[in-house]
Amino acid sequence: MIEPRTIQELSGLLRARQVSSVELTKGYLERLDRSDGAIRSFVAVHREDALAAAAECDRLLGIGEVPSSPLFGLPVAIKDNMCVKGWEVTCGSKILKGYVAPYDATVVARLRAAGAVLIGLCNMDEFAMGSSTENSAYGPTRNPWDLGRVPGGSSGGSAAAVAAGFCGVSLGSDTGGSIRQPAAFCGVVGFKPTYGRVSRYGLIAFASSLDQIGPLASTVWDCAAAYEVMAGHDLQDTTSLPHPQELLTLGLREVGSHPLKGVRVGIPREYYGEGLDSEVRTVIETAIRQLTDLGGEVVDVSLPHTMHGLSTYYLIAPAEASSNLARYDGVEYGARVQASSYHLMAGATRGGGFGSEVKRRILIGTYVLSSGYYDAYYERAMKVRTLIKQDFDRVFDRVDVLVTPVAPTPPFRFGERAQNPLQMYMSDLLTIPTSLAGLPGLALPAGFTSEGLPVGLQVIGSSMQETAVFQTAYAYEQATTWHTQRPKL
Amino acid sequence: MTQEEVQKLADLARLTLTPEEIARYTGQLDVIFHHVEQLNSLNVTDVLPTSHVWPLKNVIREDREIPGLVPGQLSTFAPEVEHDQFVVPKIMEGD
Repeated sequence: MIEPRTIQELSGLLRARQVSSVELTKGYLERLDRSDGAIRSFVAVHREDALAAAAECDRLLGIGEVPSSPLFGLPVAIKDNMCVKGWEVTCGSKILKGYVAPYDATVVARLRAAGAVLIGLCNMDEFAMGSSTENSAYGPTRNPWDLGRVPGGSSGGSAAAVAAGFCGVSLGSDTGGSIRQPAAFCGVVGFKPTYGRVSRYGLIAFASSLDQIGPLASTVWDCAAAYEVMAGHDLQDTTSLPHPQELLTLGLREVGSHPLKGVRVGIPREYYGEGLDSEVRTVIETAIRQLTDLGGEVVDVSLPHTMHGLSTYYLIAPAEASSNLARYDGVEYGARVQASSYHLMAGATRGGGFGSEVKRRILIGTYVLSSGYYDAYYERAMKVRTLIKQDFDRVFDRVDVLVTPVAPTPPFRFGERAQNPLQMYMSDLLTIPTSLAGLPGLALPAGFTSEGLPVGLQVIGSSMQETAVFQTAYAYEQATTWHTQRPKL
Repeated sequence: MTQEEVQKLADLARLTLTPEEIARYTGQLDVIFHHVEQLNSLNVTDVLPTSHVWPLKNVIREDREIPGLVPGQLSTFAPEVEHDQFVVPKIMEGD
């Protein structure tokens, strides 16, 4: 039984032929079989495909034709909203039950080309709408650190799978915090790239101007290795950026006792207000002191429009979603409720196939886009989005990165927020502005509460500055031991 | 937010909802829209809307044939298919 280790370590062992890809894959699958019954991080495990891919990796190792990515031969899990050819993909919804992806998402194709072993799909809040994975039509995922608490969302399954050691790395998607918040709640690393760095082709859309795919892993280095495979321009996604992505892992090494010398770390005061849980505050303040010890220069800054992020997001994202989800009407995909006319069929299929949160957001989106309300809500929100972005632009003249908590509270219990949508939305307070501005944001473990619940630190960079974000995060991680701790399963 | 308004939205969005749902969503939407009213406190005169964070314009490619999906691949897992076409009930007048 192989204990889960980092991709960095396993990759070395694999290439030195001390372990085979099949052995590694079997080890991860055994662990999954033993412990995912309680956690339910996966909605589908594709054993045969995984073992066949692993066998192929071993064959390539045997003849010396090995792709360079550290992900070669290692198990990767994919969130249930990305197309893997031949696999059923449901976005955590009943309305897509039975729909099998006819093609690979670009990120999936790139992972395959790098030799990653795809093992299955992870649970999520329906259509990526949620902050707890309680909105999955296939049942919730539990936090491996405390089974009575949520893993966060919407990429709760992806985060839990990494935390529990069921895969080397997983893919999530982040629209308002859906990679970063579950990463923080599950004590793992999660990264949302600059908007446009990673192709959205094959990611089933929620809010097109905000959605980004990103990796979750147990360490910053592993996360960077996965990001390197996926990032880069894609002709199939016209919103993807043409800029080349430098190799991040090369820059993540020991650089002496003051690796953050010369790095100006901004602390935006609006992220440390009254609503911040006191134990979260303590953990983050300790982390900030550590950043100073590492040579960082802490700079007090202000992002004055932060408090308007939630309202802005909960007008824009539902508006975009109401448009993106219009296609699910019983005609082309998955489920259909038969009826005598198209409109009745569409109404019944959607009414019965979508869960409450999805319907709520479609209603909000329809309202704010309707004539008479468009200017007052949607257009105003787009203007406030500009103000939020400008806050960040101004601040990045004076600092290199920003450091904040990821979530205002530790992981909450099941049912605690499910009945109160607005309270649930508050979980995204600290991650939303980064999404609205399209900036890179990384969450990594920064400690635990007195009850042993993970608390995450967020590092935000200026547009396209993935390098600064990863290097700051790496420096902090290497000076601490949070990343070596794993939940007892 | 009234239940009539929510019913109208549901019709626009092609969502068949139960009366219980209409009542529930009306209450919840009311709370949410009350919260977003705070955006009205901001002065957005002369602020341009951001619909997209990058100034991308007219992203085009060469008009060259590349391999793509074929009809058969797209219809395989649709609810009802005939000759690679999606079968639907008719759209009726006054529906």
